[in-house]
Amino acid sequence: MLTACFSFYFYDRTYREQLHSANQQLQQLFNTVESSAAVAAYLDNDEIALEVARGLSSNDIVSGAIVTSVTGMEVRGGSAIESTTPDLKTYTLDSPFMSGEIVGNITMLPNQALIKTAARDAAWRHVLIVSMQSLALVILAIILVHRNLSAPIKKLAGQLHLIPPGSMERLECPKGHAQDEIGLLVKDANTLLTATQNTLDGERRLREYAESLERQFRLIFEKASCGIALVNAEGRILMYNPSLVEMLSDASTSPDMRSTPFHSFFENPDQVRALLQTAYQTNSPVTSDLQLHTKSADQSRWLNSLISKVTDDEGDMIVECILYDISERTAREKRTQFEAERDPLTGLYNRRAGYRKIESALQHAKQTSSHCAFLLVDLDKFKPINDQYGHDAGDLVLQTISRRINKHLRKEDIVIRWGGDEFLIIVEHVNQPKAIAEKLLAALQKPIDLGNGNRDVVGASIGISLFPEHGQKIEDLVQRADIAMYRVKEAGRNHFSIYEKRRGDEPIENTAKHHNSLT
Amino acid sequence: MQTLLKIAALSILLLTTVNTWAGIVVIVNKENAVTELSKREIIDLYMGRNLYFPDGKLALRLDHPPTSEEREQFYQSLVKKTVAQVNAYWAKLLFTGRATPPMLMGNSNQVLDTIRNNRNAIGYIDEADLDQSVKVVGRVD
Repeated sequence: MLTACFSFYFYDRTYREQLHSANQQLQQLFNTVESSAAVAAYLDNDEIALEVARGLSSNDIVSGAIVTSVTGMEVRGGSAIESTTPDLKTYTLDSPFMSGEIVGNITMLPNQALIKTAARDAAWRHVLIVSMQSLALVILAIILVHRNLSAPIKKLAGQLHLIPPGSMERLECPKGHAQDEIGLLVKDANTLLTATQNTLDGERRLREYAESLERQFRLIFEKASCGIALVNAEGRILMYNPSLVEMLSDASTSPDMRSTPFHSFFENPDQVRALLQTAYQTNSPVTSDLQLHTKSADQSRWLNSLISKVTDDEGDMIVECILYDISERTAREKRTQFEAERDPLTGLYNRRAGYRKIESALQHAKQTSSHCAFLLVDLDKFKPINDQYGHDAGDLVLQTISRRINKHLRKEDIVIRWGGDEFLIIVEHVNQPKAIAEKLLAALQKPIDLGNGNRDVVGASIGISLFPEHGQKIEDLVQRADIAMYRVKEAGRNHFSIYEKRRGDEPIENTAKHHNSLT
Repeated sequence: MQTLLKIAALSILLLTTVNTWAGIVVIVNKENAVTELSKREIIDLYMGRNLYFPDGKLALRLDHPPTSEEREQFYQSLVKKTVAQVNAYWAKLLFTGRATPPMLMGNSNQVLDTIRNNRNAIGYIDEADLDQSVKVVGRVD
């Protein structure tokens, strides 16, 4: 574009210059012939005039010439010229002797075609030269730009393309460009690369940290021994861990925990629903032991639950339930309690636990104004059997007797191993203590398998005291049952007797002391 | 003595100068009808443009020798050209075959004689050489 404008400008200028130059040439031609022409015009000498006109016409740039004088001479040379022909050049001829006096004219017809063609040719040549120079300059500029700018940038672009983001690699500054824009570009690009690397490193570390944190949290969540569940306001389980599945597997009917409302896993759904509501409404965690709903009633399962409100990312209120299976603990506690309360051989209450049981039974009886019977059972021939057959046989006797007693009594009745071969039985709400005593006697009189094919009958003596007829205190009631039992022994054993007040019975402390010393 | 000599020399110089300064006069036969010629008419006659007097008589133009003082002064004053230039002018015209330069005389006396004897003659002389036998029709200075 620019070149086109320049070309046009140069063409136009050169063309004009050439035309001007042609005019100057005409002027010079005139100057050359002026004196001769002036003389010719002065003298009307047509021979000189003709010579001049022909001479002028013989030039390339003059097509024709006329020499005229004021006195009427007109001499022509070259092409015919009309006065109407355009582009005519007329020069006046001064008198050779009288300055200021005009003696004639020279009129020349320039060869316009030739002049213009020549001018055009010259202009084109000039334009061509200028164009060639421009082209050469442009090529030089391109080469310089390529060598100093494009090539290094291309090289840098290639290098940069091969550098993966976040790597340690940096651009290398091309030789000789350290101080220029390329060097600056390299420096800045390297700064950016460093920044990118740092950022990516930082992000990677952060991601790794987050991932490890997430792994740990997932591990905690999935491997936790406690069951964890997130429950929404409707009681739907949103999220749960494997331990929860294991805990609730007995109560679940569907493999997907989420299809069943949380509270319906429990024996008392209303209680659980109420707990969830409390947790929603208060900001403090609620804890409670909850019994799972199980298909078989005998294996009850208990879960300790810690329920607290959490707010999730969307702002929805949900509760987090953390459940611990406390069935085993409960069972262990029961076993411990059993072991503490029971005689290890017979499984009956030991004396200390039995005493507490009697206390609460009496309390209950007092409140309900009901009757209780104290039956003190003493085995008749335990010692001889023990001596004859050994301790193992003795143990067998005690176990068998215990089993038989339990068999003939109600579950709520209290059976205590009161002494070595002495049992205390408390029967509540009793109307017919004799009937019970008779049944027991019958059972205890049956022969007992002593092992090694030996069988023997042990037999028992039973003393009975009644609450509230024979006393309010345990000690009194036991002492009176004891008295009644001794009376049976005295009377020949293997029978039962209800306490009756006799003379000599008053200082009961002695016999009580005697019995206390047994424990 | 020296002073006298100096005065004499100065006087001679002054006289000579006065002599030189005495212009050139154009003269014709006393019987010629022409009474006065303009500078332009003199030029046209002597440079060959016009060969006739105003009354139509062919003029016999007389010229001094090429090396003469009068000739040099005449052309210098008339057309501001040297004798050599005027000679070249005539030489150029000679090629055309139509050159009619003025007739060459030997000296001023010869010029005067020719004019006295020829009714249509015209010439020029130093004013100092003028006498009553001819008629002055113009001055060149």
